[in-house]
Amino acid sequence: MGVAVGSSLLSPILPKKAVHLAILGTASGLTWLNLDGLAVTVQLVANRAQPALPTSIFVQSPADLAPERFGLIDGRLALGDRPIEISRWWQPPRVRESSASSSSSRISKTPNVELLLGSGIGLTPEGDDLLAGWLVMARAIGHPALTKVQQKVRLTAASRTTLFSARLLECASEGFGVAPLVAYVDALTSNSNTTQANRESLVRVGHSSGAALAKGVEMAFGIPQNGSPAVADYDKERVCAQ
Amino acid sequence: MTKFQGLLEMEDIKVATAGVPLLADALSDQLVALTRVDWRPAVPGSQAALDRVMADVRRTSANSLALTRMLATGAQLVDVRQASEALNLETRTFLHAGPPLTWENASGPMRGALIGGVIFEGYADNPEAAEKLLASGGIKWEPCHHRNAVGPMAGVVTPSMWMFELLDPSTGNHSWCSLNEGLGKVLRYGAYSDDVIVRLQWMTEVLGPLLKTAVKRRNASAAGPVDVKAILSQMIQMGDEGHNRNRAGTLMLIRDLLPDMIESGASTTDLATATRFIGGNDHFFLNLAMPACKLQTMAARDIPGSSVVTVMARNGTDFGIQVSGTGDKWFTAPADTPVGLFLGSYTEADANPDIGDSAIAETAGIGGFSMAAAPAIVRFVGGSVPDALAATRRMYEITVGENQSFGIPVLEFRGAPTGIDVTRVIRTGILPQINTGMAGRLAGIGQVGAGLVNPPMACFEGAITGLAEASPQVG
Amino acid sequence: MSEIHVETRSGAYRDSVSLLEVSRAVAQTPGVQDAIVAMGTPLNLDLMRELGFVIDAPSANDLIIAIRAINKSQIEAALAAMANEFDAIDRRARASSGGGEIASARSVGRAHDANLALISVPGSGAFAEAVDALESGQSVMLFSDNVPVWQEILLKDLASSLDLLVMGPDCGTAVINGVGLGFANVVTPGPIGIVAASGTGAQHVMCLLDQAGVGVTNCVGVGGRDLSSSVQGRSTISALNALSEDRRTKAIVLVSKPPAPEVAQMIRKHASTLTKPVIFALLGQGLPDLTSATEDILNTIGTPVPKWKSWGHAPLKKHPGFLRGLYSGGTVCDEAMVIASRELGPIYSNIPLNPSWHHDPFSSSRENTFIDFGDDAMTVGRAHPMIDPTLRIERLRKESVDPECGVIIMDVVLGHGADPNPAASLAPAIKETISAHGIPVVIALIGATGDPQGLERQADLLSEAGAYVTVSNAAAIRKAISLIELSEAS
Repeated sequence: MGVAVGSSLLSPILPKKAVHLAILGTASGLTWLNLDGLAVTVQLVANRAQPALPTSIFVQSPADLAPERFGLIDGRLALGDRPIEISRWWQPPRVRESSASSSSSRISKTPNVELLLGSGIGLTPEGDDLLAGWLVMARAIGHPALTKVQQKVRLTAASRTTLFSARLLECASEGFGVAPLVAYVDALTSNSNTTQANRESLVRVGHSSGAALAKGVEMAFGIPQNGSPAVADYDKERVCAQ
Repeated sequence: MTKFQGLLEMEDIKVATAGVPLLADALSDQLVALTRVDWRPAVPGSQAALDRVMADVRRTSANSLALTRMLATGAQLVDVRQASEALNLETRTFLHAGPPLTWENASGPMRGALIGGVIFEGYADNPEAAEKLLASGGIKWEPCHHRNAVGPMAGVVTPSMWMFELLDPSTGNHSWCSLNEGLGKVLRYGAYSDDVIVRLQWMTEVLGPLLKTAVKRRNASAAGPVDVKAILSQMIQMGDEGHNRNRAGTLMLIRDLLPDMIESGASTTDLATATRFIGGNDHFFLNLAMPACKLQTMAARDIPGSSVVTVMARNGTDFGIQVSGTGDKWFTAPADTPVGLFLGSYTEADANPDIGDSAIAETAGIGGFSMAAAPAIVRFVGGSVPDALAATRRMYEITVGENQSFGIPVLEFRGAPTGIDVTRVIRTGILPQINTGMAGRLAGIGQVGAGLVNPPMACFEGAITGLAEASPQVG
Repeated sequence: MSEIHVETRSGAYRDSVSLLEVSRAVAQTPGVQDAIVAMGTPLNLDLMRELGFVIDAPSANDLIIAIRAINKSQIEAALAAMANEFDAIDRRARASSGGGEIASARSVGRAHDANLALISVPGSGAFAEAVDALESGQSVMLFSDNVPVWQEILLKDLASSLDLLVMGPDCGTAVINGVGLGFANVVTPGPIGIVAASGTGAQHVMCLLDQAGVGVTNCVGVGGRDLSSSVQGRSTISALNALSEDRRTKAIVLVSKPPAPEVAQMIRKHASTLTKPVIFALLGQGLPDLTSATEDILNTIGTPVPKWKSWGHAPLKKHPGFLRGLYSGGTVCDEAMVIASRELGPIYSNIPLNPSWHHDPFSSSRENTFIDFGDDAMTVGRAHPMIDPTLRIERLRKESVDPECGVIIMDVVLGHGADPNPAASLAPAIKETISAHGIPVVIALIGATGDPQGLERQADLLSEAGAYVTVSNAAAIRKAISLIELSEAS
């Protein structure tokens, strides 16, 4: 099996003596689990197609993603007949905190959590992606509504969206995300000349995830979102509170 | 346990890669913390000399010592004296900015300043006679640096001129600089008209002696000598950078000296003229900042094996540098012309090549190196605020250390980049960043603008060769 | 009852706000009764004297550290806390961009957090960069080649004086605490440590050990010239010492071509002083091959030797003609030639065992010919064959239509840095060689199960194309030899 690399965010919270393991699903290089209520994803370590998630344990071979291989041995997550040994911790990308707040010429919008959370289909519904993008940028620029939105999400996530998506939202509110997302936020806040290129890389992530993440980032930063049908709904009065 | 043994057990190995991207990709695939270094080959033709200097086992500790000595220096204003006395400047001997030069090589502003100096000292009655005297070898001259002095722009010093005298308590070294004449048509820009001479005479007869009395009173008082370094430290945090912007420094100097000037016994008229003169010249403090920087870099001189730059200076024709490990040897090359914004309707055609000893500021880590501390100056030199931050950050690549005495606020009070390392300039291709005033090409025009300039790389190529020759044979 | 520490640092200025932060950190360390970290100004000196500290000839330019604690170890802890706090302040400042972008460092020494530098710049620039890395406290993996011997010696001496290590020059493979550097395989960490003067040699041993279920935590490359009489095994000695101190390592393997005799003797003598067994896998004429050496390791640690895996079927009939070897790894090519020349006589090559067997790799094969496609002359202006299979495929096609070609043997090396799917690139040409031209192809597949390419998958693809695939190079060459029909004349 080789050894595993783990996201450092897991280090303090991975259960040492877990009681309950549920395999929630697997698709294209990613398996997601519920370990005593904690959402954990398992990915291949050298997989350029799927960006590294802050929720992940990274394994060496594709065979290690097969759902039937997972189990619990002495309360530890195991693959086949061996507990997973995490030999190294990986620091997930985190946005740079910047004092560059939205300028007066831009109006930053606050998302309507009720309407967005869980809205859409897939492992990470589009509404969740938009929220995640917003949270990461809000964290970067110290948006005044960050705490409020974060609390709202915490309170309602369990009943409205997948365990995995809720965990990603939690990571996002702490500023953690996949590399293309963090790169785009950092490019915007440092007024970089690679911003457009970073946006294009982000949009390529997932099927529609990337585009929704980008829009959420821009909503928080105060970039007007015009004309795009996917966003039009979210821009309406009832979706966004000022 | 050795450091390498520790590495074998380390959970969070962090790798810096230089070269083939594939190898870095293989590491990021394994989610290893990675810094991809933007490596480039050294300046062509300098590799062999560079390797020899890099192989010199004295270099690291020599540079470390150079930095420590620089950081330990202080700068106190201890006297104001005439050059003839303070620098033993003999009759018909002048000093000038930059490396050695001949009359034939001298540019417009330098010639003008030399002519003005001759007239001021009375060695000739008119400009034509003065020029004849200068061209025929009737006057001797040498760099200010040869006598541990510095001069802005043409930097011409004549025996009668009054000089600020500064002391570094850590080494006992002294350094000197003339008094700043003000802006516009002045000697240092090569002007030599009657009003220039009259002003110089007033400075010699009134300002110099007045300042001397005030300084002496101040030294004897409980407060002790004016701490020029302390003023520099505060200036950097007030939007000045000590080369192109000295306004806060000038104000703090007046605050420090005014009471003693008032009690010096000078007449109210003289006092009023003097304070108006100083207060009306935002660059008055430059002539204290410069010798303070000279004291800092002097302390790092003559350390065998050290590749730290101790002097950067221009004479209007050539740019010259000196390096600690090669002592007083000058490494020179033709100076570039600054690029920036012009006053009035002046253009590039009107600008003289880079001139002045004021690059001693950058040699000491302020001026262009601390541009991030002076956003106001950036626009004046045609840049934007992010450019200023980027310029300072680039300088950390080519310096040995940082000076906590000059903390740059916007960079979380990071110390100014200090101790230019010739090997790093050669390796990275990054040249020291100077921001400077521009003199008019024709004598007497005065300042035509302000802008950014770098020393020519050729100076550093000469320096790395010089250092290689002074280092042990290898290979 | 208390312990006092007073220290004066001349010329080490820090601003008062930073010093307040630092003082607070020190004062809050458990066991500290009083602490002041401040510049020696009259005001601060008064404070210090009030607390009962005696300061010798202080000046306002000195940074003074005064700590009173219960005992010596609390003082140590306080000083450590102080160093950490200064570090944190410096790191924050270094990371600050002031709101703008941070441009990349242009030299490894300015990558402040790094503890290892992987340098693969052209050889002429490698020395300066490596010196910078070492001076910044980073051990170095020097992938670059064409580095003069005098520079190698200087670097290794400098490393030694700084308690660091230089892996290289011309080091293409290393594994440090499970992290693969350069061309490296993904193996489970375990009790074996490897010191390697040969990259592919190390890879082969690592992969065989992995097949046997024995892990390798560290593989320290030392560069191909380390065991020469000029370099005298400098990095090898450091590496052996480091691995013998590593608590997870139970046995060490040294993989190399035979060193200069006096160096070999010196290394053996040094190895005998270490607390862990050192197995010498020195390759060359009359010496055991890498597979035997690996079996030796397994015996030393008491692990049963497995049956080395193979896939596909070799043809039952022997095939007439000569043996042609198309290799990407120099060491495994060497090993194959040593074994083959014993049975078959002269092996012509661009890296011949005997100078009189030298053969231009760009011209057609002559009798038994082995080509190392990774040799310098063949990689000018192109990627290494482990990354780019083009030249080997071209040669494969050429050999297939050569009537004198009897059997073809190749190595396929997996792992980080190598072609993401070498089997896919090679399979069509191999299939054609076998089915259209009837020439058997034997492949030494050097890889581990955990490699990104997937060992099993690569083996399946290659064996489906008709090749006989085995994980042991020694086994592969023996198989290939057995397939050659020897004519009466030889």
